Parts: sequence; C-alpha cells; structure tokens
Amino acid sequence: MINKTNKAQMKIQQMAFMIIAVVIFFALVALFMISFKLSSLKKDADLLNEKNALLLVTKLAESPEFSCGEAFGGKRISCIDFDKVLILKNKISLYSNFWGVSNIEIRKVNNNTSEIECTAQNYPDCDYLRVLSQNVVGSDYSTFVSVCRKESNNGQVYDQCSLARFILSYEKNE
Amino acid sequence: MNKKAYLEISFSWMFAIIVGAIILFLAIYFLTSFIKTGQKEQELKASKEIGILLNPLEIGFEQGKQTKLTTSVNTRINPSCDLSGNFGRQRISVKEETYGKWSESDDRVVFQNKYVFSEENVEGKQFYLFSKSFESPFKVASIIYLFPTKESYCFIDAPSNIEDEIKNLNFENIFLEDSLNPGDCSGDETQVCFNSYEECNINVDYSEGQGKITKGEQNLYFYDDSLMYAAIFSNQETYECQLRRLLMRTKILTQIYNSKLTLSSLSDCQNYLSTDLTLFENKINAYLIDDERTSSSLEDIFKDAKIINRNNRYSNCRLW
Repeated sequence: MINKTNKAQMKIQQMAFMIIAVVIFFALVALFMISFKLSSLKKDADLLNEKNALLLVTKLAESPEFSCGEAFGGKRISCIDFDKVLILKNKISLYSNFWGVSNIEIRKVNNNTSEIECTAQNYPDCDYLRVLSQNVVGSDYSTFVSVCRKESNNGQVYDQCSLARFILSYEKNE
Repeated sequence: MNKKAYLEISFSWMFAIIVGAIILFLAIYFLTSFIKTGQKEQELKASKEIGILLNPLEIGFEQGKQTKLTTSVNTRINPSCDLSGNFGRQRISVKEETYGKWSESDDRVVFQNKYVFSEENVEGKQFYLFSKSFESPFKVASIIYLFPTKESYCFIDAPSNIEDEIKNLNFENIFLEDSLNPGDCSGDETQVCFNSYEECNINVDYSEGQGKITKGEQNLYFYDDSLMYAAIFSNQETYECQLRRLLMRTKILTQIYNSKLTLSSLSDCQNYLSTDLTLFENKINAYLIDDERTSSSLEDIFKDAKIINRNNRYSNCRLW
C-alpha cells in the first residue's frame, strides 16, 4: 500500500516538473517573440521618423512659419525669413510636436570656429539659431537655404541675406 | 462478476489531457491576438506613411500639385479632424480588406501640420491627392484634397480659371463639360454644376472666387478657390472642422507677423499694419471661441484679409 502511494506521488511530481518545464519553455518563446517584435517596431518607428525628416527638410523652408514669401522683393524659394524665425523661437512652445521632428536649427555657412547663437541684436555676427530644441539623441538631415532679414542704416531699410544650412533632427529609439 | 463498464483512464492521462487542452487554448489565444496586433501595427504604419507621404505636397509659390496613391489591397482611409491643442489635429486611420472583411481596428495616427479634406471614408486601391495653398491674407498652409480614382466627377460650366486648373492637373476621373458643348461626361459621375439653376449632386454658386456650395441639405461657404475644392471634396463636418483648424493657425501666424513689426530692424519701415492685424486677430478669436459659428459667418474675416493683404503689398517693407 505504501509502495503504491509512493509511486503515485512520484508520478505527480514528475508531471508537475514537466508542466513547469513546458510553461517555462513557452514563457521563454513568448519573451523572445515579444522582444523581437519590439525591436522591429522600434526599427520601423525610426525608419518612419527618418522618412518624415527626409521629406520634410526639403519642404519645411516653404512652411509659412519660415518662408520669406514676398517680403524680400519677389518670390523666393528655399528662403527663410530670419525676423520671423526669431519671433517663432519665442513662441515655439506652441509648436512642440507640430512638425514631428525634435530639433530645428539654422546654421550659417562660414569658416568661423566660434559657436555664437543668433539673436536679434547680434545678427548677422553669429553662427547658428536653434529654433526647436528638445535635447534628444537623434540623427539629422539638412538642406541649404538663404536666410534673409531687414536691416536699417540711417533710416534706409535694406535686405541682408546669407547662406545657411537648415537642419532637422529626429529622435532615434536606442 | 457484477462488473459495470467504465472508461479506464489513469490519473496521469487525465492530467495530461486537461493541461494539454489549457496549453493549446492559451497558444491559440495568444496566436490570434498576436496576428491581430500585427494587423493593427500594419494599419498604423500605413496611416503614418500616408501622413508622411503628404509632406511633398507642401507647396511654395507653385500652384496645385497632384499625385496618385496606390495600395496593394482594398483600403479604406478615414481622415478626420479634432480641435484639441493650439492647432487642432489631423487624424488618419486606415483599414484594409482581407478575405472580404474589413478590419475592426480604429486606431488613428495624429498630425498637427496636415489639413486633409475628404469624405468621411474614402475607399479603393488608388487615390488622388492634390494640394493648394490657403492664403488669408498670408500663406497659412497647403491644404490637401483626397478622393478615390474610382469616383468620377463632372464639372459643368466651370469658370475658365477652374477649368484651366483641372485641365493642368490632368485627373483621369474629373471631366469638364459646358452646357453648350457636351464634353466627356457619361452621366454616371457626381455632377458639380457651377452657377446653375438645375439641381445637381453638388451646386456651386461661384462669384469672383467666393460663394456657396450646396450638397443636398448642406450649405458650405467658401472664400477662395482652395476652400471651394475643399467644400466639393469633403463632407460638412470635415470642412467646418478643418476650416476652424486653418483659422487657429492663421491666428498664431497673425501674432507672429504682428510681433515682427516690433523688431528694431523694421523700426524704419513705414508699415501701418499693426492695428489691422490686431483687429483681424480679435475677429478670428471671436469666431474660434463660438462653437456655433460656421463657414457662413466668415465673410467679414476674409474681407479684412483681402484688405490687409493689399495694405501689405503697398507698404515699403512687406511683412510676408
């Protein structure tokens, strides 16, 4: 009688171990699949962000928040109105997430090694203007644009334009 | 010898069958939800991709642009609009047909800088997208129109500027006709009649770039050509909502232009737009805070926009 009970207990124990092993096996498979799926999702999200930045960089300069319009005599394309962008920078909190990119920067093309941020007071003696800055790790795309603003000298108003790189950065999922 | 018949199954067999059934049930359950999640992911990706593909439709000075969107399976695109945040939001959801059934997911991808005018659900494998610049008084956005290629339109007695534009855009499903010279319309298309007394599917009262569109019981008011196309290709709900979103952006751009006037670099400019812009912003504000107001009550705002644009054109330092 004791022998029979021991045998049955042994079998139940074996079964329990087997079930635990099977459950652990399936849990591991599920974990592996989830992590695989998540990594491919992150990759897809990065790809879409990259595509967005790539397509946006060529067109964002034409957006009404940046474009010169006809403010500098005639119609200009790939031209950024610096006066407007300076105002936009002060209102940028309204535009968070508006274009789906993390950083927008305008960097003048020159040989200077200095890093002076542009303000209304020091323009054109400066190097860059960070319009939108979300402090994230990311990659960027850029295009060349002309940056123009109005200047005045002894009551005479004239246009001051220079060449710059218009840089967009997008957040990368590490 | 009084033995009753019974099924002899040992405890271990019973245990294995029950546990096996549970494992099998869980496996099938997780597999189904995995497939459903995959499908959802695919549709969300498609929605996002459609939104991203709209970026090149952002236009500068050039006129309307047309492009064709092709999908591999029958697709239902549902662009919708809400007014949350500073600019409102464009929502895009995509459903795909698999084995004759439409997926049930209702997940949307959200964009703040897109304005898509279309019917509530556009269905098919090919879609036309075209864009036009919305300016009031300055450029506010490029607005996008979406309609399936399988839906045809017949523009009857369209004004010459609209006729030229449609010809240049070269759509395969928009035909032109005038009452004197019958064109390519077969009669099966959605009829869009301009300044006509006949009752058509869509009636357009068009006078100097503005007017009213009647679709059955609905009346939609437009104040330039870009809004006229918007009213033709979209339903009332989308039209009124997107128009409100456009005015939300106009308001913020008005603030930017007004602040631009205060910059020292423009202090020597003879520009008297400041008061005009402040009044214009106030009028937009009054419209935006009143949920009851529709496109019919915007005449005053668009009239002001035209005056402001003229004043800007003749000032010695243009703001835009």
